[in-house]
Amino acid sequence: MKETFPGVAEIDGMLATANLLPGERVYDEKLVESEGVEFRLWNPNRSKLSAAILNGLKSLPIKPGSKILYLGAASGTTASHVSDLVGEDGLVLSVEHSKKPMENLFNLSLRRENMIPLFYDANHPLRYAALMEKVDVVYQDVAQKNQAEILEKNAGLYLKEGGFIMLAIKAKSIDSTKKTGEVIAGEIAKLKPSFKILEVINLEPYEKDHVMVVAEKR
Amino acid sequence: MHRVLTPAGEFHIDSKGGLIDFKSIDSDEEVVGLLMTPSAAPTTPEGVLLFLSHQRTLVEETGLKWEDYSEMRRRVALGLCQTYLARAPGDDDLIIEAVATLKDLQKALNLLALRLAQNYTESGVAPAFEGEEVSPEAVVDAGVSHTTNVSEGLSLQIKGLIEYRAGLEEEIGEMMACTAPNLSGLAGPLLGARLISAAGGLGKLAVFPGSRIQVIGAEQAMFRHLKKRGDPPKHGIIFQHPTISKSPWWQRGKIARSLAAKLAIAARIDTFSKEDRSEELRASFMRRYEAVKKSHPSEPRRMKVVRAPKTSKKKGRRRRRKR
Repeated sequence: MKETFPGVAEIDGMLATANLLPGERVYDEKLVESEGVEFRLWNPNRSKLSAAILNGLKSLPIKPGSKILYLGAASGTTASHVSDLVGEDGLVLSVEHSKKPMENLFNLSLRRENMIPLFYDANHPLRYAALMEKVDVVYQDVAQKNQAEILEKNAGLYLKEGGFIMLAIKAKSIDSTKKTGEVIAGEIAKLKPSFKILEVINLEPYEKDHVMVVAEKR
Repeated sequence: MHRVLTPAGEFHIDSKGGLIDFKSIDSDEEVVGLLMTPSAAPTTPEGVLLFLSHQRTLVEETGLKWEDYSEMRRRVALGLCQTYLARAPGDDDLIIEAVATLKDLQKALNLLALRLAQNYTESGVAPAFEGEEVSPEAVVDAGVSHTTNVSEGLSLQIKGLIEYRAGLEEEIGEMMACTAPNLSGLAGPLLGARLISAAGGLGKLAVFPGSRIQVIGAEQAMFRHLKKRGDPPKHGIIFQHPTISKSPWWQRGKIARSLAAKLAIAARIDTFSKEDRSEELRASFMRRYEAVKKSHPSEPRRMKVVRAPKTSKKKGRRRRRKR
């Protein structure tokens, strides 16, 4: 076992996070023990963050103790690994607007004390203002046309000065008629006024027509 | 002054982030209730920004420990989430609602367009409209000059509704891409949404066999066939799919059968895994589609249709109602 980033382990070429609730699985991931600690293997085909790390992400702003606003947490597959990663001192505020995935996420949040579920539309960040605090990172994976606008609104209200954003862009959900490269360049251009772009990672072969953007708040 | 509602109570802060007043709320239930009625505390972006930048100090100034505040917030958030979950309609319910709205909207638009067309014709603004010219868009475009006040008002409303319809269709597209990416990719968002709506939910559509999906929307013809031995319908609302509606009649049944079978698979993936495999499904359907086009290129000689003679004597197919 070696550590790729603080909180992220690599075991036999596969990524893993130390299980916050030993013995419990969140989806169908494998549990492995290494040096007396139980790890959950982090499947890059199921999680874009894992895919980005495997594809050579240089710096990971999500660290043990970080506070994260996670927009589009879905059933909590990736969010659960983020919860492992930030650990007991960290916090994952996860926004999801769909009922079915939220049922999963809610149950997950009941078990994991560093997770707070927010059943809201990320388009209207003021609606969950009462439950918020300033965060270190806004992680977004929403597959909506106005995703740049959603990110801007949320980061404007809740991201600390000098905080980071991580944005998964799915080219097809923005414009399925244009070329992937064009769409992604267009989306990145929209971020530039408010964020300093640090990295753009292609998620092939794990996800088609996807990239992960890491940027810093100006 | 800004008022900010939090899980612990309401903070009143000045424009520099200093605490003016704090009204604590003791029970979690009360906070949950207040947070569900957004009008209870007017939240402005400025107020939120100011509060959050001094949050820890403000909380501690009221005598609360930060840990206690965090714990309170977690309880309130979980309570809110649970209440919302119990009330929230499922994603497919939202799609069904949108499809029903779209259908009635279309009806209303056609009715209003017909009225406007008649107004224009009678007042000599435009010649009589015929056939497809009575579409709302065409009628609205026709009235540019010498329109009466009544017609101008109506035309404005129709324009508004046309815009609303476009927005609604786009919204259905987005909901479908999220909730049913495979159906949406294979059938197109609108047809996919209509299928979900006709079945009464995505979960229900997923347990339909392909043969049933093929004739959704052709119930009348189906039952006529079952009761009186008419021809079985080849397609219901899936007729709207361009591969069927643009094909000649002798290919339609075969294409409809294969499309319906793929749609059944798509609905099941959407219900049980949500993984987007629409491209793969589409490719495999298109292979079948091309094969049908190739193997049945020309119109077959029409066979003489032999129908069962209409007799008043029923051969025991219908049971007499018991008295």
